[in-house]
Amino acid sequence: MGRKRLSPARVAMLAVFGVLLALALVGPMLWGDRAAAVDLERLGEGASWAHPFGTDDLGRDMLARVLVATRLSLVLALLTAGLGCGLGLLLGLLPTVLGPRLGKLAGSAIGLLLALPGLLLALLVATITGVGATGAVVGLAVAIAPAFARLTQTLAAQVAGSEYVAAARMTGISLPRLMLRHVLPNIAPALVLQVAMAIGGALLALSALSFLGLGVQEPQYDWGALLNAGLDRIYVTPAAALGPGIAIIVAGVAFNVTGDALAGALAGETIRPARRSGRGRSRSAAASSAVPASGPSAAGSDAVLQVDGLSVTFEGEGGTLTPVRDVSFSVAAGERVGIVGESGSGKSLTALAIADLIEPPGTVQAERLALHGRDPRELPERERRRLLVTSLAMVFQDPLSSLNPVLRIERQVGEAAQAHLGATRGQARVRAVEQLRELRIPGAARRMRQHPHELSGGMRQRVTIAMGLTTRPSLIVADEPTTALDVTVQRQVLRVLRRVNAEHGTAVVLISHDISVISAFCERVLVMYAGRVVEELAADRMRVDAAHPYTRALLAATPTLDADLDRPLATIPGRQPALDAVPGGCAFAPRCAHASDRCRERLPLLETLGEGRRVACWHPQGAALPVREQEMKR
Amino acid sequence: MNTLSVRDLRVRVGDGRAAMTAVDGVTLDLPAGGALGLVGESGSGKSTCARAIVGLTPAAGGQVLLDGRDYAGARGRRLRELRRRVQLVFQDPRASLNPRMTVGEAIGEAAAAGRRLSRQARAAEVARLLEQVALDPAHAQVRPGALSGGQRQRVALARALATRPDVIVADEVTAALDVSVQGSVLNLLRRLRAETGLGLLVISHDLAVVRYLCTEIAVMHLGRIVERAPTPTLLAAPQHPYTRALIEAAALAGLDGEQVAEGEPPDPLHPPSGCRYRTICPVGPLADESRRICVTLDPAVGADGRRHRAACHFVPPETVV
Repeated sequence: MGRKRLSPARVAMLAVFGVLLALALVGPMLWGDRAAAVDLERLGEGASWAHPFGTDDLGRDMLARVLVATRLSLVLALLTAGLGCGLGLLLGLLPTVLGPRLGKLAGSAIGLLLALPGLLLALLVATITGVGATGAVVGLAVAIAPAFARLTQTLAAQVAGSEYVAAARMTGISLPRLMLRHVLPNIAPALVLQVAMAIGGALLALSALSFLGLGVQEPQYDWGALLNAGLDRIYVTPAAALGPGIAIIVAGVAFNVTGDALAGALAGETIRPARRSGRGRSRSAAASSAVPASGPSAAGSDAVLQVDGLSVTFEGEGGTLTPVRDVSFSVAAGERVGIVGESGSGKSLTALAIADLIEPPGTVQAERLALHGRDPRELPERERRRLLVTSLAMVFQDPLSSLNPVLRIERQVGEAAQAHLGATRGQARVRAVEQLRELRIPGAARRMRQHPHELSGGMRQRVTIAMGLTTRPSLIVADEPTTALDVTVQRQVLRVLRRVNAEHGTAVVLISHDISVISAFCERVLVMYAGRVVEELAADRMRVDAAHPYTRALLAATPTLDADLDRPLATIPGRQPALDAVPGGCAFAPRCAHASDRCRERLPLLETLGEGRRVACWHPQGAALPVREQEMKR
Repeated sequence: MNTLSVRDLRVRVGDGRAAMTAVDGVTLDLPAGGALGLVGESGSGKSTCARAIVGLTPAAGGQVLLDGRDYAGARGRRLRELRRRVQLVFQDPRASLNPRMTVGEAIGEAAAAGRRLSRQARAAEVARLLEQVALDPAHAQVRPGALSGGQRQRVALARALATRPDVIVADEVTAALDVSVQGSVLNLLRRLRAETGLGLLVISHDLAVVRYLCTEIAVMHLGRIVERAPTPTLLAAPQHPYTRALIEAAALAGLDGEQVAEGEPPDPLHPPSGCRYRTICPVGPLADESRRICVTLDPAVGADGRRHRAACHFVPPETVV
């Protein structure tokens, strides 16, 4: 809620706002007489004890007059903003209400009105309706309306295009109800802020008009009129102009800040959809992915990647979150390893940690995190980057975020060779074409001249893979590389990765939520749940070997082309624990049919079950368990 | 007797230079209580087709028949009647539920649309619907933000059921859900059809999902139906090369195989002449240059006489049994 985040400055401004309202209510009653009292002996006096802001040219107390003028100034400002915003709101909703054809007309009308200079419009209307408060209010309202209409139009179009409005239309509710229940509440926060700012603006503009003599006329007076009167004598008695001036500024600021606070509070009510953790990532992380890798061959060590005790933590206001906990695994040269888990399992952050792409406030802890036996975190900056860049290529879900939209493909694919292998621009281009051909990208030469937006999604993803490969890395980490793609395109991309793996012995770590993709592509699979690896097993024996209840449930929950149609799909009750509420024992225990007290109390460690098989479970399931383990269970 | 029939439906989307016919002559039949899957990839027009059927997107031509009455281009009262009988459930329940309304308000609003319900009757109806989708009636008080993805999608289903429809059009209803919960939505749809005789039109890119829910499948490519057959037949003996490609891709088989020559995917704004799949088809001119018929003649011509009514010149005629 916005309320909790109120800063002292906001509280102060809200207090000022309250005082202004109180003044508007009681001011004329308390000081009305004093403000009207003519004192011919004190004409145009400066500041004094009795008259802090001096007196005007009829000897009336300026302070009292400023206080009394609060009501008229605010009332006029409210009227103006109300009228203007009301007009704007009606006008702005028209395009949504009228349907496509008439709506377009209404939209164009708003655009036309917007093109007219507001103040000119106001002056024109004010001249027509006659000089005076009415003219000023109507004129300014007309000037405010178009901008407000455009804002309403844009916001309403967004909301009207949303699926929940389409869904509401599906139920057959009436148009007014649709507007009142679904559209207006969801655009209100932004509009409220705009209304408050409009009031502030109207206050200033009305004062300006009165100051110019076009607004409020004698014997009435608002702050602008007072300022006008005071300004004549600014060199003689500055206080007389200062009083109304201060009032105008304070009130203007107070309205804006109040509107801001109000909009914040309103918006706080909205339940914002939680971002799918791990799927969205920062621009800089994506940009780094475009810096690909070249590699010394896996000399010295046969493990391309060695991870021991990797944890990722985020320090936040609510405490420390640990989305990745004590993850250990290794990847041998040329191996295909899959990491599977649902959103929030920590699989993507594991990938980012490997590539050293975790940014503050996130931190990475690991006993060992080595590429080719060298831990990038222990190296000086230059060498660290070189190691990362020469041994590892990252491929992300959204290829567009990894590609620079304004550069041609040839520059982007060739860049790495140029930067890290010392190739000339010409050589880099040749290398880039070769790379695209190698990935069987049709029309490679033509692609080189194209920009990213000219390519299809699958083509873009293949280009990002090509970018990563120009310098021959020994490891590709692909994080959901096919999730945004169609199945037939997914197949092409997976084949490309498989080909690179087979022909160049490049190891691949494939990260996906889709257990079918993982088991079809990889040799070895790590299953992650709530930040931990809960099982590791051979991909081709997954259905036989799976011992962790979560892995087994995932397999049974995934519809396949050969699943038994007579049985309902498995579902896992409940949901993955939130990051700040991971239970002490086994994180899966609350959803597990086999959970015992031991599971809820003690964390099961990842234990080796056999060759390449590890499981973190107190009650591993399945027939394929080694006999010894079965006995131990009893 | 068909509940829902779509005849030669055409939908134009976009304007100016980006205008295209997203749905181009689609014909579908959903028998009462039947389950038909409409499968295709992004850009195939399957979702546009779904939206046009329920009148969320205007149709440029063709008919949407409910029990023989045409609702295409219906407005006002008739449109509301159509929508009460044919409900659309959207892909992402995060987007399709108003974040400011409680579950009870959202379902109650749909239940009360078009008829008078007392406050108690409305609450009872909400509770009944929540139970029908296997949710605790206490959930009526919460807002969608407090629910998991699977629960939200079931709320969206309950809202759709509130108008007592004959048909539910399910547009990628599990695509936005985690695996562990998508089963609950799929099982629920199957149960509803078995128990209440609800007709299902399932729009999905996922053959496995469609296979699980539907008895018949129609495959859509670039705005057209290219093949249709009962589910087991279609999966066991696909006739159209595009259907074969889809099945292979879904089965994730042969990732190691040598890649065949790959053509340029067709541009939906300027679909190729003749067959729209020919530019990437492993059967057409790309594989055998003498097959000029793919360039010159639309394979929709004569499709009714071929196996699975396939829109491909190289599918043999249906043998009369």
